[in-house]
Amino acid sequence: MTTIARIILSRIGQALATAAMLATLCFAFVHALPGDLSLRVAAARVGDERVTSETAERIRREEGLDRPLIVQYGQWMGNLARGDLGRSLLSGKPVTAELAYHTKFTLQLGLIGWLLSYVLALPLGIWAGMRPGGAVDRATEALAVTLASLPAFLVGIGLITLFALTLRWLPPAGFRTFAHMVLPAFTLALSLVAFSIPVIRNAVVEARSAFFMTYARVKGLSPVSALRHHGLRNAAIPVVTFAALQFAFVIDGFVVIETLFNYPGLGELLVKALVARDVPVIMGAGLVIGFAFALVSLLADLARLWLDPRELAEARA
Amino acid sequence: MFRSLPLSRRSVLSLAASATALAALPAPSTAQEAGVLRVAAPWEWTSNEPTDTGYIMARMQIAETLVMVEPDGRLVGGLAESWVIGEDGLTWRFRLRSGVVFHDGSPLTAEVAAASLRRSLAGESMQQVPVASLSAEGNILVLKTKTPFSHLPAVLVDYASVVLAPASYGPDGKVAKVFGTGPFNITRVDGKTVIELERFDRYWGEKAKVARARYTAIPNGDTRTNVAIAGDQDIIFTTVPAASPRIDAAGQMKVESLTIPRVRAMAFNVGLPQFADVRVRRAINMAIDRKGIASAVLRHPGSAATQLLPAAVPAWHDASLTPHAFDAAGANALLDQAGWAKGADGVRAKEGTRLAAKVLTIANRPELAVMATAMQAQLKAIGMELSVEPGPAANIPAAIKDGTMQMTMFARTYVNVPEVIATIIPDFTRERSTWGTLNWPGRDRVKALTDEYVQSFDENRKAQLRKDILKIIHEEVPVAAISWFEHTVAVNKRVKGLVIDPFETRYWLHKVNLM
Repeated sequence: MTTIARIILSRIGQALATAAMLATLCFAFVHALPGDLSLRVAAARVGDERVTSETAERIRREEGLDRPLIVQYGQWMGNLARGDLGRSLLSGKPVTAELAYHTKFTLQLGLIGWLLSYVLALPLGIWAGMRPGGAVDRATEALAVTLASLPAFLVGIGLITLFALTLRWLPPAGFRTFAHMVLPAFTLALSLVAFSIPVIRNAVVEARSAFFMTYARVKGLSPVSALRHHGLRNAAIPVVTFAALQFAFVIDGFVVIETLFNYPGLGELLVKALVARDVPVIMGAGLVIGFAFALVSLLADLARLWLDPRELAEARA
Repeated sequence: MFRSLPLSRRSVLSLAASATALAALPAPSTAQEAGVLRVAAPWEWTSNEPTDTGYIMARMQIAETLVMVEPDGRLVGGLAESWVIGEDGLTWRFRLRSGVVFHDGSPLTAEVAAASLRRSLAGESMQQVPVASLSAEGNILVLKTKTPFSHLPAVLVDYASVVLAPASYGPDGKVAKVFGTGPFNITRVDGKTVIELERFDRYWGEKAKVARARYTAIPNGDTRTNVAIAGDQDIIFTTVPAASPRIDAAGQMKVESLTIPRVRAMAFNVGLPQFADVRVRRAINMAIDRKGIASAVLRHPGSAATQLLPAAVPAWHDASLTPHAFDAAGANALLDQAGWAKGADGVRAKEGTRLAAKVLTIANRPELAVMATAMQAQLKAIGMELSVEPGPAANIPAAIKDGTMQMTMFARTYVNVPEVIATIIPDFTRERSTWGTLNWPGRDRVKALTDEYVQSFDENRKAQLRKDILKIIHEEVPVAAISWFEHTVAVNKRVKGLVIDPFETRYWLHKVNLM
């Protein structure tokens, strides 16, 4: 087995264990919350006003919520071993179907927003890093600080007010067409850019001050050429790790943006499931998010090994 | 393994660094779709079960009930053309409309209606009907009750009793696909958010004017406001009242509003020593400046409640009752008279009990907490200490059930069934109500009246009983309405013929035309 394959296998094993642990914690936390679980489920199902204690009792009986917790947990783990995540207490639909539907939307918007953020951040960050303390550096720093201090919903409301309500170029909410994706994607991208610009800029500054860059310049390469041939790859290593981390954060949804734009993502599903105490959905989401998080960080590590073969050599040794 | 990859590191990095050009994304316009009636409301399509989402089926006119209600409160035939009650006062015969077909093409028969109704009786909404038997005789559905139940037709308007085709049910008895009888049938459901509908051409009644409709759930109020300002829907139900001027000013949609029998109210645990004396409850009721709250918090002075229900339900509104009015001096005098004296901290007390309470309110109705905070200040002026605790709505029935409730502030519709008695019974005749008072001794007197009401078929007698019930509630203040709801609907300029229904059982979309 090659070193890489060993790394991948052990990391996937770790990911599965982490995900199962996360789901177990979700189970424990939901049951530790105060209040009657069946009553919450009933309220979410039939509406706050129509819920009666009889409804709660009926749901408790029908869904087996009156069984001891250890039995409920054991059954969930047993079903999980067969690849069955159970059914939502709210909709009665299989949890896998619910998760697949919402994950699709989160991945779509998350990927677009994340890519868009690097389309914006990479040129700005690199440019700023080329001349630390220069006008561009100061301007991008101001931009990054401003965006970082604005909560995502405020950025979203600003974009909606300008492009949807005033200029009327784009719809203010929804998910059916590409036009619906533009504003939420930009909102997400801007909130990510705020943190990635400084990381990229610092990585470039650090790479540029390295000894090998001085050597490249001494041997006669132009600043741009030296950066392109020697600087970028080295600068990319911390940036890739950071970008992966940001993407991992994006995977578990961006509740505020989803709510504001009426977008059916994973974050919204999870928040509603928490309010409704929809235990199977919460545990399923914990499992999927935990696994996806670990998977993305594995991909980031592989990308780093690809960019920096020195680490691979160390791993082999 | 990396060696075999066709990409060079340099090319990937260069591409990433020069990808700025991609940022110039196309910006498509928000064209209105011709011929599609776009309807938005806060409620999500969480499941296919009529007990859960039957209100969306009924409002969007996908599925129908045996009896329906007109905007003026009259009960009319739905899937049942007419009905009669037998001499025994127990046997109801509903004659079904002929020629009704479900969206899957199957015919409506009395057997099918009986089977569908049996499922809804098992649910909670119709539990109060004392059903003895349910059977079919030709095209007549026969429902026998154990005791006389005079408002049965009104209960059959309840959305949980919508009639679905037999093919709707899966092998597990759950609804797999919704086949109703309404003027619109479902063509596609997208998650919990979007339902695509088309006109059902074999509909038994007046056919829909538009060929297609789309329901979109927008739970967030601010998002509904934005969509209304942008004019991105044709009809938006339940817009945020405070946003109406902004929506109107944008010029795309206009907000129509109507006072409905939905109430924001406070309720007391009458079993507590501080609330046992009716004079204290009256004093608290008098200390609340409803008009102030209605104009400052709700931005609608007309919504201040003068009694339990608004004139929109004429049968349950008694104009002869003295309206609830703000009178802080009168409230103070009443408390003095009842023996509650102000202590050093400004809070009144009597025999070691402080005039203090914790009011539970509902977090996802943000105006309630603001109203409760306003009441906190107003009650301080009469020497009462109020602490406000917002939380999930289910906390209120839970606190009533386990007896920990002190005071509550909640929103309640009294026309889930278009006969208010169906809500009065669970809220005012039990020691532990569903959404109302706790330990109120007056419940026995109300129960005697509601028992007679339910069993009576004499309309004059029932009118008197309604007056008596309202009078007891008004004078004893176990529950007091603070404000009535305004039903707000934003309507696009291109919509013609919309009917706004205070009962909200259906949206009357079949009458709507798009210009």
